[in-house]
Amino acid sequence: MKRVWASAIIFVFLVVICVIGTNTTKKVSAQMAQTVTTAKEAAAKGDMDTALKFSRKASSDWRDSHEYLCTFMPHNQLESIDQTLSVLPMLCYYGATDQFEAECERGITQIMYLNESQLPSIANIL
Amino acid sequence: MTISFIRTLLLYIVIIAAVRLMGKRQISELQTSELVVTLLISDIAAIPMQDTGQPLASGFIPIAVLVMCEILISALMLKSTKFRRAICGRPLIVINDGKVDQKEMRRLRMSTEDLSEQLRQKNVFSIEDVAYAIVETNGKMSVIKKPDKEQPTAGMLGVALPDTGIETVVISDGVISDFSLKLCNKSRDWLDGVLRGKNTKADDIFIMTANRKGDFNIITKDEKK
Repeated sequence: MKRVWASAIIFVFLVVICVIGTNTTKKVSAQMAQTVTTAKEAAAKGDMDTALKFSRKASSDWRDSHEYLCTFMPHNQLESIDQTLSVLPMLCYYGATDQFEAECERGITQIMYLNESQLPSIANIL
Repeated sequence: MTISFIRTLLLYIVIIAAVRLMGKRQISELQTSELVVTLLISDIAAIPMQDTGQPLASGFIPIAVLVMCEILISALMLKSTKFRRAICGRPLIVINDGKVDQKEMRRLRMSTEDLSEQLRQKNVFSIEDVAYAIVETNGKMSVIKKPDKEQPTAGMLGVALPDTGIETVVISDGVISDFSLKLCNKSRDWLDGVLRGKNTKADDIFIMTANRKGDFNIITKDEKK
């Protein structure tokens, strides 16, 4: 009977861990996508100071989230986002607007893919 | 390298804990579901152990799920015979009342060599000696010999044997085991008396066994060169 209780505790623990993991991924990806989108829109309007500010914010926020996300996500998925976000401030600083916007778009896609890959959907399960 | 070392240690601890949680049955006699779980756990643990790009959680979570399922299934098997039969199958009688059941052997895909081999492992060297042979759900064979081929027991011969109880190791490499002393109904005082009588002390003993009747056997440590 003790083992059945242990299994019930494991079940609750697993459900909690999975829910926390999914919610954290959702929250972080939504927040990151929003920051990168704001930076991209600012660059499109020619407001490079705001774009630089938001691209730096995106890099710094991602670094903070990375430590947490890498405890339950495959590291290669996170590394590709690391690489994309890390070039944004420099591209913005040197005025490479076209490339900056393209990199922003790539970053947003990667972040959204990261979110989608963690959702317990039929497509992901199968 | 250090990461692999720490990860392997952590996974080792988790696997040991998982196997302990699933129970001793897991180690000795594997039923179908237990065999599946054991194979899967070893396979799952190997992935994050080798690939540091995979989070440890990708190993821990599947192991925890498997342990949980295994415990639930074993609990359900205890409650429901039908469920147990569905998961483990049922024992099959391959020799029934001295007659080899060829249909059951075909069902088991068991050859005559397999049958002979399993009987030999049970110290039976002729099929004629067997009354019943049953293949259990864990794949092991139980054999009941014909009454005239069974070795007579003390009870059959009407011989009264003294009940000496269990023989336990009361001193192992100089260390006294109170648990073993209790098992053979002996006290520390009894042990001290025996050691005094033999003019030795516990530290000098390699193995000392004793039983409930009070018989004991002492093997002293070899002198260090």
